Amino acid sequence: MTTPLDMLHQPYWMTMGPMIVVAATGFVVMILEFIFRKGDRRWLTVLSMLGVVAALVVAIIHFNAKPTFALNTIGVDPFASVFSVLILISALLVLLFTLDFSAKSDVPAEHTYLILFAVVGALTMASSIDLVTLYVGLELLSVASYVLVAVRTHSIRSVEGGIKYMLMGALGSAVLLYGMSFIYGISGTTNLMNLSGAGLQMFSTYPAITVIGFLMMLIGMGFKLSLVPFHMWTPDAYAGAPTPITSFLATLSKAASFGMLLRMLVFIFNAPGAHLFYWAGIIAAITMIVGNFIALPQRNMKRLLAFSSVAQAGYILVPFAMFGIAQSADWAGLFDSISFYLFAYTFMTVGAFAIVYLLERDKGSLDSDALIGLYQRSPWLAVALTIFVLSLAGMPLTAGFLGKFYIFVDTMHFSTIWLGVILFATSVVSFYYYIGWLRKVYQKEPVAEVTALSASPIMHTLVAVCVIGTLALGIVPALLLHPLAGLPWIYG
Amino acid sequence: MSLSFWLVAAPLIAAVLLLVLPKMGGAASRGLAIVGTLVSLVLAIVMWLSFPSGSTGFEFIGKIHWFTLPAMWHGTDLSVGLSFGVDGLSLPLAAMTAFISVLAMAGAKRDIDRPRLYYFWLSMVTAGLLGVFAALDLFTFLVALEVTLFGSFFLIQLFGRPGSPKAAIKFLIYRGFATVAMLVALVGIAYGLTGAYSHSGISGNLSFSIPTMLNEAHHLSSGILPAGVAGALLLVLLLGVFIEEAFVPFHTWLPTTHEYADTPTNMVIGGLLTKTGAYVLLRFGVGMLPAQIQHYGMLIAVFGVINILYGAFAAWAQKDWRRLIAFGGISHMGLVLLGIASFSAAGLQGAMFMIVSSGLLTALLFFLTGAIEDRTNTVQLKDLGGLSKAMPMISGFLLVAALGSLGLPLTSGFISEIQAFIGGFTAYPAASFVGLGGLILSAVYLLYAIQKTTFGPTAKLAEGLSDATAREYLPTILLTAFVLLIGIYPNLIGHLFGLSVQGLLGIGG
Amino acid sequence: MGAAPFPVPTGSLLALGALLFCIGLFGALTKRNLIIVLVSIELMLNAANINLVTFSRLGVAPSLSGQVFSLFTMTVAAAEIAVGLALLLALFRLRKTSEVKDLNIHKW
Repeated sequence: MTTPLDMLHQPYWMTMGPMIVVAATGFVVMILEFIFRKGDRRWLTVLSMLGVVAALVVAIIHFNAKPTFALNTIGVDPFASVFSVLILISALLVLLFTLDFSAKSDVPAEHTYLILFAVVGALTMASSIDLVTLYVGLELLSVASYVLVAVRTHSIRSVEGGIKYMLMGALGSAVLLYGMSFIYGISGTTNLMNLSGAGLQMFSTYPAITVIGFLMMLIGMGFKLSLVPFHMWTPDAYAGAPTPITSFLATLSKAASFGMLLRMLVFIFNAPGAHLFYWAGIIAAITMIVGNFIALPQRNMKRLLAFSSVAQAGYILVPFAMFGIAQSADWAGLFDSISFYLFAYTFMTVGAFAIVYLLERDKGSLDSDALIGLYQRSPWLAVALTIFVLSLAGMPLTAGFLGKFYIFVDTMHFSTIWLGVILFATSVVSFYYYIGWLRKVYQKEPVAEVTALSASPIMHTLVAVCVIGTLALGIVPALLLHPLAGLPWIYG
Repeated sequence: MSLSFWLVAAPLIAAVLLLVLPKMGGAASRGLAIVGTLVSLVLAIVMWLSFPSGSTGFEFIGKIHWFTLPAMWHGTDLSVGLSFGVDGLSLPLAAMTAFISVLAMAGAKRDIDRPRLYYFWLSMVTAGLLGVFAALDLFTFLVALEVTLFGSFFLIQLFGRPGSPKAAIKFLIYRGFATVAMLVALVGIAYGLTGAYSHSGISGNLSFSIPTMLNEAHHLSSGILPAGVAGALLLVLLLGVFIEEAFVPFHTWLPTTHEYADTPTNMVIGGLLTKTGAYVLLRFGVGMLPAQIQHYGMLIAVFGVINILYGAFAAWAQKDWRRLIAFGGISHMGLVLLGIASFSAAGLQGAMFMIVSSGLLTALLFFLTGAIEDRTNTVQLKDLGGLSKAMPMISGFLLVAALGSLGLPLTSGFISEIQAFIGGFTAYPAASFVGLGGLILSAVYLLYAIQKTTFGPTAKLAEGLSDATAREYLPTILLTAFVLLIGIYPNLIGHLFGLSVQGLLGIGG
Repeated sequence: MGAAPFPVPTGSLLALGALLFCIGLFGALTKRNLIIVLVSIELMLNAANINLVTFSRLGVAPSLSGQVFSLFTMTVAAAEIAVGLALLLALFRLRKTSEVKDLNIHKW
């Protein structure tokens, strides 16, 4: 694309600012970790949060920057900015969560900087335009996540969840990489910008290989996104991981993976591979149906949320199916609906996990019977949980409903209404298990005297932020919808 | 801000106050809820009295811009707002909603557990129902529909009889699917009528405004929406409506719900919530897909007749008053379908009358049987008997309600049935003839139940019971009065319905 | 880049890659010992590497990026396997086993 690259005069800060800040914070925290082995080390988490906030500031400053790319590899464009902001916000929520968690349990403090390195990987996935760096970013995120899940090495649940996650994740990486190798083979480039131009010719010459490449990349990412039928690891890893890490897997990791999948598919297979996107629709449909039905008998709260997150991934995958049909002028609407849902999903999921975590700590059990009497014990937390659950189920006035509605309107327009119908029909199925929770929340506890659920101010803050996010996106969605829709998402 | 906005807002404000204000006792909570709904009732009456004569469109329109979905493929930004207004069809239904809700609250037992929560949800459901009837924006409509769904779910779940959680889940799942079907159909209709349909090159600005949709439906010739698509949309809509209205074979949730819910909830669900489906069919089916309604008229009529007969037979077989009333209601709503299927002025007007009449009568029946249950702790027919001696007033009113329900002249039931059948006979004589059997059956099951309850040897548990109290007289007398008033002077609501029928059939305008 | 010095048909190299990939996939899905499973996954990654290197020499548009890519892949795979073995060790300490079937604490 460009001829000799002047390595020294590249817009590194412009394009990689947030990454640099987070990575630097990660190293600092790691070193400090070695120095201060004793005492209360929560200030390290606070330091990490400050680093993430700084990165967020950088990302927002560069939000409207002209698209620039360093080394033709990593760049800033609206797509990257939106996903970076999303990733950093969820990182902030997860770190806040961790702050409370590390105070109360025996988790090794290493996991603070592991989270930061995972965030660097996620940011790379959001802003790379080269298959090599995308892959490296994905692996950075994944490897850090495997360790994070299994970080409680004395707990067999944690280790087992980690191993399962690692095996399936590595399998996914291998499939993804194999798919990438074919795309490279028939185009001779790993750069997405070049690929987006080469697509047309590539497809007409090697249709079969293109199909293989598409499916392998979709399946490879499907492992990371826990799409059905590649979701087996999800409940075990979610249930085994420390709860803040579970929320990390469910939100940050998923958002970054969706960003990467979206970027790859749209750049590589845009016009010529239009009919291929239909496969994404089929997987989305299977994911929505299986995810919701399999969640029905779950009693373990974390496993239920895991299956629910499988189903939610199916909802988010629905707009992917329409990239083939939509004209590129209409893509902004699809990007908009995906990213809006991801924002909504982040708030409601972290919030739900936060309350599950409080209950788990209080009762020592993840059985959903722990919910009984929550309203009596802590009305505010009960109402907050109600809001999260209703949003996950897709009730009006919450972010979840609007996200789904917007996706539904998309399916209506792009003649894929069958997906929209499945989306809403399976959400009705999800009412069953979400409402099962609410029933227990408002049920009376048999014992005579009730004690309030203990929650630190940190957790209250976290829950409050998530409630505000969920409600704000549900009641005044235009706050986010319009800025997102107005973006010139990608320059291809 | 227009009157119709406050119509919906008043109970909502009351609900919010109930949630926010601290330390509210039972009486204060009930008072606040009643005041909120009473404001709506007064507003409805004011609108009724000042409704412009001859207007077939929407009046008292109030809009609040809420947010827009960004302009992408649908031309301009899709404006989504809270938009309310009433016409000849929705105003009587809204008035009935406020009326029945006030009476349900006023007649509720005084010793409710957690009264604040109870009246909160009751007010929410009322606001949701008013919103459903008065919504002029599809999004508003859907939001209001979901509010009613969840509000009634919690009423059943938290305040029902033992075992109610299961019934509540059933209620939620059935009506949830109904809502989904309607959502799909309605957004599809909006898209077909106002948006850019498919790739045919016709592009318009997608609008969720119900008046705009109606306008398009009336003024655009059938060209824009292919008949197949419109037919499919109507079938999806019908599916939603049939579940919502508890038509056979989607009916099982209704009797179960009524069996487990408490009396005021039953009044609201039986009297109002089951009427939303019929309203949807009139507003969106007849109003926006008239050609398809006529095309599938036979199907709808046959479905109607099946429901008239099935409801009546099933009611006859019931041993529980509440389940009997539920099936009676299903039978009534079958008649509404028959009237709509006829697609004639008389039939549509009969259907509208039937909605109101069935609403009032169902509420009255539930209230009276609730009063009986308060005293005897049972509504099983086999346990009751001879109540007329112990409580002559309640028994008398029960008889009046039953007579109204079976369509005795001078009651609202009569005028509804006769009109619906006149419409039915002009369009589908054979089906209507079969449907007439339902009239006879309704006389059979209602009089049978009355006989078992009020006459005959006095059951042991009926001894020493008191008659209606002041709390119970108010709803009973008012509901009965309106049943009779509509029967004697149908034009009370008939002139409004007449206007909207003209609007629907495109006569006036 | 010029033509290949000696003619190895692209097809055979790709077939080798595909074979390795399939063996790896089969092993990863059926083998009982976790170490073998890890080895199988390595095989799959190496299949991708063979593809990449083949394409970088004999592909439609030969370029160096394929080889660079495979270098990155190897490094990343090493990191992944290191973590995998560490987890395996942790499991072995707790359960004295390295069999897949013993990963059964979480009920389905």
